[in-house]
Amino acid sequence: MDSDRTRVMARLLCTHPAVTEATVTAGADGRESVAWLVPDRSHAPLLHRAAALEAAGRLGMLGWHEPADGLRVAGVNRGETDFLYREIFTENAYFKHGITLPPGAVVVDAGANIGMFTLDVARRSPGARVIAVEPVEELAEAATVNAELHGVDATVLRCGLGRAESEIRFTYYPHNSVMSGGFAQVDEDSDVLRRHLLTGEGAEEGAQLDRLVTDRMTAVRRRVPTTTLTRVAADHGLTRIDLLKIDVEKAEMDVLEGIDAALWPRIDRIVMEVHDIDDRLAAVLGTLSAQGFSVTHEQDPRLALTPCHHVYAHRPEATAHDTCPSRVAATSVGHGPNLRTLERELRELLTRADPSAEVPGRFVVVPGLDEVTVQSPAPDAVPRATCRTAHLAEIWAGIFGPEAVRPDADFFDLGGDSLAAVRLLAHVERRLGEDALTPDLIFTDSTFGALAAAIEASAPPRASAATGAQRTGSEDPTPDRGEP
Amino acid sequence: MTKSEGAARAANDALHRLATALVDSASLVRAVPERLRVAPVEGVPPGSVPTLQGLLNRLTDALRLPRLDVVPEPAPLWSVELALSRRLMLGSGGYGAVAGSARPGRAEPEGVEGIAWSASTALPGRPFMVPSYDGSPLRCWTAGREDRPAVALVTACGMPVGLVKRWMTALSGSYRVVTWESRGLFATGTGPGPAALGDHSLAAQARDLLAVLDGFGIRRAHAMGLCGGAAIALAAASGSARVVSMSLWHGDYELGRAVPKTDHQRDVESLLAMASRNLKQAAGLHRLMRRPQALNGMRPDIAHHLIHPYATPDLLHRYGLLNGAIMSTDCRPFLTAGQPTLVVSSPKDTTAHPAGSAYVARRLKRADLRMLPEGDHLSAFDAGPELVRLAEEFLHDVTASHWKDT
Repeated sequence: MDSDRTRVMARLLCTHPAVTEATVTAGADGRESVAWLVPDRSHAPLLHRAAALEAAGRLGMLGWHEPADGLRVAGVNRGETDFLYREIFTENAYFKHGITLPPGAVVVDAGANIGMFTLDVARRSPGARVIAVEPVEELAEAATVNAELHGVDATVLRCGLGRAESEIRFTYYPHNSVMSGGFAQVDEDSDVLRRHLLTGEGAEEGAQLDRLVTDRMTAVRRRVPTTTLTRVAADHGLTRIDLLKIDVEKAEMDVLEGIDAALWPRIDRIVMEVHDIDDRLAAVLGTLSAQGFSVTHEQDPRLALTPCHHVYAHRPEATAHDTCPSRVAATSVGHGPNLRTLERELRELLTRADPSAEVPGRFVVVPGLDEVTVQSPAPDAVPRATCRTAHLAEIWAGIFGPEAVRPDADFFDLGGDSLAAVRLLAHVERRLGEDALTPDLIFTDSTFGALAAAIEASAPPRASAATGAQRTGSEDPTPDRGEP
Repeated sequence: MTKSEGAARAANDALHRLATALVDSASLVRAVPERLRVAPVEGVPPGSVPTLQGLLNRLTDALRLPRLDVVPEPAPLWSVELALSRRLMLGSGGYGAVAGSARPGRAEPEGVEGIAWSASTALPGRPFMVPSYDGSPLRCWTAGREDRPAVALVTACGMPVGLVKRWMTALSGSYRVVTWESRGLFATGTGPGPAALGDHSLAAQARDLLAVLDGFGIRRAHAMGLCGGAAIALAAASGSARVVSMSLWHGDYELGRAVPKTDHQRDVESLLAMASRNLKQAAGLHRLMRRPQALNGMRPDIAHHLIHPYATPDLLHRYGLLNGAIMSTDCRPFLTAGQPTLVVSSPKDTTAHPAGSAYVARRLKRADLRMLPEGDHLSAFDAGPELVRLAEEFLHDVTASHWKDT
């Protein structure tokens, strides 16, 4: 792509209302051409704030995830972000059975994870104030960034909620953070996960299931501080709590025990996940009923083999001015496009203007063009052992996210389906030639490491000797645009 | 009705359902050379497998289909077998009723063979063989009175006729509906496997439409194209005045880079390009499609149709050539067609990008675009009340003016 073309393209990009400035860097040495965009503060406030947060170093080890059009969040694992989005935004797992919110609600989000529930509260209750409690540092950081990104009035407490102010041993599953907790037992939790995967969509089986469970349940043990809800209410001046959401992986009874007699009547609604171990569900239902709540519980059919239930409790007199859940926007929080939406529109804009033009392979948002370097914005997680492996890493990251670029990451464990396999093969072919990877390989040895090794082995002799700078005759210099 | 009469009726109903499901799945059953296995529905006791096997054998024999092996659990089955099991729903509707029917002389006034015959003659009925202009045999069907205006139903490439059965049912009351299955992808005789694949271009597939009209002695017809069938109908209409009008439903077109495509379209195009390259490559992709997870993206009630072109390496290779040609041939030269046209799509279609339909409607001289608020891609095949009403209204308008001189 020559410099005249990139200049024309940049000018075209700037005609989109969500883009204030743009530049396009041409692809070279196996790198893709990149469109660098400065988002417009008014028309793309979400992307504008995201770019500023990232430039300020706030993203750290987190990645940007976009589980739906119009939504962008900082997260740890893309798969988990998608799961949380589905559970909270699409399936409304918490806002059922009389659980609604008044405007300006005060909400305590215990077990906030990356703050997806907090974001859901903000869209349902304009002016809501959220106290998000999350003991895992990485997740709490994501929740903080997300609250800031979406302009939510949230205070993130980096501790656990329990029956006393103390410190506990805590198990964090980095690849399955939603099951982390103070009462985590790897064997027991693995069994729950196994049962969930057996009943979920695209149920897994056999050795693949075992590999998946082992990978997801890699455990890190820490000590984390705990406090009580009574203490949190006192410290933050909560005279009422419109909604207490509890998802604390087997510590739910401890959270309830940390509520004193004076605080109970000031809580209007509770929604919680309960692990029905040793009749805990009955105990929780009994406690809530005794406190004057109208109580319902249900179990997601996909969790039928697990002890997980949802409990919904509300005081009937407290719901008169609540928001009707059906009036809530489905996905967007009204902050303009996210990158995938904007990228789609810009691709259409460019191809409409010149159908024969090469569209940039990647679109990146930055707070200002001074930030643009000549370096490719490929994620740090991508290993660049050789040019061929780097190509695979970029393709792999494009499908599963940069955190999935690990030698032991398995294509099918990551959720890859048949068409995703075809996409991977097609992208590899476009960049490295037809014989770089055969379909059988994805089927027989589907880890990133094995496929990278196969791609290295399939290189012509000249390319095998190269370590990055040298390109092979079979490598296609055309940047991958995800198009045929 | 006495208790025993009630049991007999239940058994008959269950047998009819099973026979109909077998007929509906016949193309798939015949496509795979290896013996296929099927599992009963959940809850059927494992001890009933021999009884169900006996019943199934009688039905497959009566329908002249390859026999199927009944296995107690779905766990070892591959994608085609799972899709087949889900369609047959062996043991559903009360295992006792079906098992009772397996015993000769009980609860089966028509007899198993009679029920099989009845199922095989119900719509869409038995195929007619029509040779295309290059000699490729085409499996064709017709429904409706011969003196009614003709509608040529152009289905998606590689799909068995069962997928358009609802449209045949909906339109055959007022029209003479004819349809056919893609060349080279379906067994045309009693022998195994499809006939040799000749020309696989979009032009050849468009000529098949005219050959089908010739085969039934039809001079002029409305062409109703669904999905990739829309591109075939469009190509045929641009080259022949015998296509007097068109309706194009959720069409999948190649229209140059200015018109966006969905991720699904791009993925399938990649798959077809790879599969068309050679049999070895197709075999590798076929192994990928054998995984049970390959069914995840397919609607369960029609998965046995959708999986058909992936059922063997050879079929997948041919599908790559045929559907690859449909998806990659630039349709813009066909937009000179001047016939009255109804173009239907929906923003909810995430399979074939609705922008393609909008573009086609804009460029055709006499097209009316209906962008429906609801309706995913496969809903085009469901022939729901709204779509049928839309089709009938359009057909009424165009046939009233064009059939006077037929």
